[in-house]
Amino acid sequence: MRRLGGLLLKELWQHGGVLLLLAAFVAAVQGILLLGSAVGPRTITMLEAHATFTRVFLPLLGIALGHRLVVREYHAHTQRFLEALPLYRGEVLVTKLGLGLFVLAGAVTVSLAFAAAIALVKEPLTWHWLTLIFVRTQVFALTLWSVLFTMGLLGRWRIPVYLAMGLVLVFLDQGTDFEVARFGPFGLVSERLILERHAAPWAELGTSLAIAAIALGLGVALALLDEGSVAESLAKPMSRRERVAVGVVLCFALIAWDVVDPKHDKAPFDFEGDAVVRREGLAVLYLDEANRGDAEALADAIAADLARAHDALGYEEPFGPVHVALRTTLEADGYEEVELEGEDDGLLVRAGFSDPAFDARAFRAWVLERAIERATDGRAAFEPNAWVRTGAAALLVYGDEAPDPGLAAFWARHRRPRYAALERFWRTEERFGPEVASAVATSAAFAFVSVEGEPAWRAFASEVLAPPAPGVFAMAGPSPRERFEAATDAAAFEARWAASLRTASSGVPRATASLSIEPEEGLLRSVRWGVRFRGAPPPDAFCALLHAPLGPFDEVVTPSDLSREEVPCAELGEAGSRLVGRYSAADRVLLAIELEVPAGRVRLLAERRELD
Amino acid sequence: MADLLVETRGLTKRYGKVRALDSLDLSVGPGEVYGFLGRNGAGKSTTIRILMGITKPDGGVVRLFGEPVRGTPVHLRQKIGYVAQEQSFYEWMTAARLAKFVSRFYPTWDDATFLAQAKAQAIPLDRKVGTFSGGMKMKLALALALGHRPPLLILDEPSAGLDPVARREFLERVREDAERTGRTTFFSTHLVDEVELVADRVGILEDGRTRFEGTVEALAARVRQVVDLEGEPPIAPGVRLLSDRVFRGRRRCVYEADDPAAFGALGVPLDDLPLEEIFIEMVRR
Amino acid sequence: MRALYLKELRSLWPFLVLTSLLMSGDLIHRPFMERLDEQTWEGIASYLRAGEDGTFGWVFAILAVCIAYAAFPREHDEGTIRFLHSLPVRRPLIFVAKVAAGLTIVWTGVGLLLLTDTAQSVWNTSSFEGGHWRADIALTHVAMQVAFGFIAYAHGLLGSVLRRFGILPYALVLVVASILKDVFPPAAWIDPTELLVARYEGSHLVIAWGPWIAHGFVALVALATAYAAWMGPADRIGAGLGRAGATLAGKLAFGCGTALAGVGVLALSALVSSIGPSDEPIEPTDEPVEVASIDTRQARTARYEVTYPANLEARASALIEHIDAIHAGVQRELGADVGPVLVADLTETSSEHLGIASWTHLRVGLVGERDVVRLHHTFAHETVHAFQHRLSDLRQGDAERATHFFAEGSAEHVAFRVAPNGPAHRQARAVAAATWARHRMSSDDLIDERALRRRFDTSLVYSLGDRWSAALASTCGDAAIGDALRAMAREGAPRDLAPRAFWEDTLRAIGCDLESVDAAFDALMDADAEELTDVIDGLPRLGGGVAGRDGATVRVVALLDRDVDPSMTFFVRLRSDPDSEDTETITVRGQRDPDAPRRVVHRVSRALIPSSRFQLQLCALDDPRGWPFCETWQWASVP
Repeated sequence: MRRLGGLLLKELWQHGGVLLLLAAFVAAVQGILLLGSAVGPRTITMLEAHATFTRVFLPLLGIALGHRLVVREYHAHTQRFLEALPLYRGEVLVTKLGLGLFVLAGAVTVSLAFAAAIALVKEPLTWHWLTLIFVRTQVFALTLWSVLFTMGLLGRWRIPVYLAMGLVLVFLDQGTDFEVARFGPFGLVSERLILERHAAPWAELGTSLAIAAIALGLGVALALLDEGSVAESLAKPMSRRERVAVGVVLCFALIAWDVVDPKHDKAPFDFEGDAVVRREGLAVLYLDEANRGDAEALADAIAADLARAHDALGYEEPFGPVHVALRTTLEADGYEEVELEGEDDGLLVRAGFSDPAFDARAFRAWVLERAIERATDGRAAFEPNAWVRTGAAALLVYGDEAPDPGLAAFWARHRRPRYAALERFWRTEERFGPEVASAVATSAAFAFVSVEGEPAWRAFASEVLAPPAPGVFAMAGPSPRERFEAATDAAAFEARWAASLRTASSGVPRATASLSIEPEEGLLRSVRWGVRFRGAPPPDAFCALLHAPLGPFDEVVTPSDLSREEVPCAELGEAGSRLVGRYSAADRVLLAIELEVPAGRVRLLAERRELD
Repeated sequence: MADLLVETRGLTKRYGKVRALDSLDLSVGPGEVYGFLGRNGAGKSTTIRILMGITKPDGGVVRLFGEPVRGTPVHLRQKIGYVAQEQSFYEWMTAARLAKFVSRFYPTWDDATFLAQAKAQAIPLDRKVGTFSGGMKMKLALALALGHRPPLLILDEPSAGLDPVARREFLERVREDAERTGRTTFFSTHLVDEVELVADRVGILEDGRTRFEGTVEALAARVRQVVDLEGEPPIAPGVRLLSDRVFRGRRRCVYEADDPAAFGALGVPLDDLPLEEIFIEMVRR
Repeated sequence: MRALYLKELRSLWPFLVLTSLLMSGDLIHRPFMERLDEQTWEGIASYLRAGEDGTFGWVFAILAVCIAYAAFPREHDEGTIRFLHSLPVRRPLIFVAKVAAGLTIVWTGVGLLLLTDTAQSVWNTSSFEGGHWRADIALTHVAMQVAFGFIAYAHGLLGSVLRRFGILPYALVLVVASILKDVFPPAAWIDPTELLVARYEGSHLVIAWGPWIAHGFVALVALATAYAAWMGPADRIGAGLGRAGATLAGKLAFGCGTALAGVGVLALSALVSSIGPSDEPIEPTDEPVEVASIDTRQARTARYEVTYPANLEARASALIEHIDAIHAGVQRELGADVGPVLVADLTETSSEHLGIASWTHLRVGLVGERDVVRLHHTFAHETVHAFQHRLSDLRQGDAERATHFFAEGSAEHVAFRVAPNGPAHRQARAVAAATWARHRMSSDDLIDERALRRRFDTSLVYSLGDRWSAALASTCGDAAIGDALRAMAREGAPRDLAPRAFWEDTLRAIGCDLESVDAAFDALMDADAEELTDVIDGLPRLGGGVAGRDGATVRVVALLDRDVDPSMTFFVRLRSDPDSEDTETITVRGQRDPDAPRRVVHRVSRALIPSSRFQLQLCALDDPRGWPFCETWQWASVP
């Protein structure tokens, strides 16, 4: 006992001043936290100050203690002095362990006492509740100190090990079912620390005590192994080689963290319930019995489309599951694709297929496009390839019955039908609208078939729409243009294509759109827009201003990004309409004017502008 | 023979593939001043660390105060005053506080003894140990070691880093203390003159083994030289030729005999060697 | 000099390796994981993105500081500086060589970053899909990074010369700067990592010259100070500081004292964060101000332990009479067992919310709440939260991004059923329907809290969430809300799912279907829009933004598209970026122009605006106790 007393006295001489400061610090911090709890608008109980102290400041206190009591002793080699004295190594360990535990346990006890004293003013605290909190925090303190004490004995490797432990816990938490926040000591100081008033966390207590025992065992082993020479050698400073190695490992770990995508163990997406029609690799949700017939017809047709596409494009793997959900609030020609999280989830799309005006074939082609995109991991949507995707889907659905190329004819009024235009699919979509771009691609595909025949088209499409190799290897091989030129005579194709569009009637009335920016107050700007028709505006036509703010860099603007101000064209008048004050000077915006007629939706004008 | 205070038989210690001690035998009787002599890296500190229980041997027997030990128990270490080769004191402690700390571990601690030693060696008790020079730290270490009046004093190269005056003072103090109190003193060194000055018996350590153990006089009689010999060096039973070299233009043949009487059989006149030369010849490869 | 410089470079080679990995490490995996011809320059170089958080700046700064530390203190620690001093070379040259070598490593990192990002971007030749590489922006970023590297290195140098006494003050300054940003946004520039946050006006990168000049000047001073200290008294300073640090006062001032001060600052920041930025003060009204007395009373019912202010005993008693019935109603709606007794604190006086709840604790404000119906509704709402936490085993909170709308929405839904409030419900439904129709929202916008916050008013979680919960109940049965909560707590429920996947999984577990619920929700919103057309028509569309600046006040103008009731009030919300929390949002009331009733002016103090480029949201409120109708968030700049 005398020896232990001597060792304790030494520790107090050495660290007593700091311990007193720490005591004052605990009181000050707790005071600040209590004040924060008192004035904080989201405080549930004043005991939150104790919870914050335990979670945040106790570990900091523990790290500081571990450094002072353990790391410093070995770093300064004064443990050699102790070894030479007539005492057991175990006595040194017991003293340091005991003192550290006393300080940490004391700190949380003081913290709880302060918080409870304040909370008692208006909260109905019970002894059972306070005991629960007390036991949780004491066991947490014990576990914390056991681990930090042992880590201190790791000397120069303690920080890399801390980092490694942190990374491992994060990996486990995000990549597996393991929940760090509910495990062992973390679970003890979780939200329930101050809110659980009845149930004791036996599992967390047991786990924490086991961790404490293991940590202590390891620590004692480290300290005593080879007569303490292991701990002594670990206390030497890191060599440059070791530092570099740690830095490199850390970098690779961070890169791996960035790259690795943890898989979540969840069942693949599917519809639940009885209102579903199922076919091989396909499900159609119809919500109500009245829609069942439509659903079955659609399901049969899409299933056949998918089978045809699979054979025509020569895919080895089947298309992923396709899910079609009825959404009665969508317009007859309004389709939605929903992004699903898992690779096995497949495709989910929505459409108003119960609407009498619903065009099933147009929808089927659209679904097939999405399915092909998924099968090619998005490569089919790549701009130079997109027209092939759209054309292939249209050919598979429409077969010999080419759809009305009216919208493509509208486009041909403004652009020359050339292959180069097909490679600019996204730009065509933005300038003329998605329906027009789709019509252009479809008409081009049909023109190709009429020149080269269907087998040639199939071979060409299979090559372009093949599932790509990973990464940069997908870029290897011929470019889309080279593939096209190898598949057909470009001049003959363009001539045939142009001819087919010349003879088609667009069904779009001649109209001119106008757009101007008008200054409002100060920096505010308004957009004045209008549509002038050659003749009277069609009675059933709608005119709309589409607009979206842009970032500093050009990216594709999807239809869902666009805001829409719609007006019956007949009400537009000479003066047009104004979008008042939505944008300011120096804003970059995409502005487009769209005309909706029975033939479809076309954009008369689309510009990216930086407002003055 | 009176009970030995320190005895090792076949003491062995390995560090990986390196054999630091290889069946070391030594014995120290009560009241002796034993000089443990060896080159750097011979195993002197390892031996002392084993005696102090800081390190455990891989083989052999260690007896302290007649008791066989493996890892010296606390009650025996309380009877040993130890001065390490390098001092790892708490630099923030004053000498007085350090003494107060150390005193708690020795039941036989005597403040008066320590204070007398401190005064005799002019150790500033109210200064922090971190401000002490190497020599002052050594003096403090000796005062602490003597403060609890141990029957056995173990010193590991105590004069390393001391200037000649400090070294002489230190050694004289050791000798004087031994004579006055009859304390057994075991000290390691690689400086032969220290052994000559203070030791009663000397043990020479070479490659982890005992090369010689005995009195200084016996050591001196054991090794003789022949100078300016012509022709082949003579040989005789019980006599070994240690070296045949030319040194400063003169040929010197050095012989060793377990029994000095065997030298007569060589038939040539033999000269004495200084102790340092004897040590060098015995341990040089 | 050349020999010195090369020697310094050689000794810093591990940092060259580290810098290369940090700056160009994506070169290891990106070419194998992504198709570079589809990637944009902005997608590859994250530091280009507007308003990107300061992560890049922090990493860069830490790297520069580490290099500075490696160049100087290590030489002293290892004693090799004495060897250098013994050579026939002037000390200033040694300093210059070290600085040059360190900056070479830092700037090599900048160069590598540009090279590798450009090399990965060139594969995408499309000028449209793009973030097409732009020399002006690339070179400007390089210049900024070079300058920032110099600033960070200079500070690291000064810190390293002062050794452990240097790094702690710097860390403290950064912590203080970080706290200051929250409390006084215009002081954000003090944080040097803000220098690298990209801000654009249109397509032009905006350079905040003032902060750059200030930080540059400070860095030069730091460099000069480091030089002076290193040249002459570095060792003496170190020894002196060591001696001073060894005294008790020194320990207080430097060593552990600084660390304790640092941790104390952390505690202060926790305090400040809990308070949050302050909005403009509310205008005084004619209503008498009510205050809760410090003296409290306690009451106990079968299901609650209640604490209330003694001076509001009558109001409290009137509420307490009904709370067990409210509890029973909630329990019935959720199909739950009775559960533990709940603790209700009625002394709450927050201006931020009417009540909060966690596990078995509720706080509801009696102060200023004279509307009994509303009080019951609020109490029921918070009781639902307590049940939610228990039924979901707190898993609802774990998946807050997916469940926030459900937590508030189902609480509203159940509360309206248990404690009906017709007018309030109608107002909420109208605002929800107006927002839904006008902004063409979808259910996907609602179930992802992050997506909702980026574009819309987050208080929609109450009104839209209520309607979604109604759709859930109508599609999957009355017990669906409670069942969904229990499904979240089931054994083996997958975690960390995206919001849509979370709800697919949760609803599947109760035999229901998310698409069916969403379809019902869509139909319900369309029906609400049709039913409440008259109320919706009373809510104006607001177009506007920053119109100008009058000294320290920024003028935000909203232009209404129709005449509205004179009692309608308006306000503008401000935040620094789309990912800001609600607690980081400032609200400023607007005043109608008496000469132009469709013009509303909000005078916003510059001190309240979080940064030079920020977001604002214009809102109109027809019922002071109801929910506002708000436009979508839009970007704006301080003129």
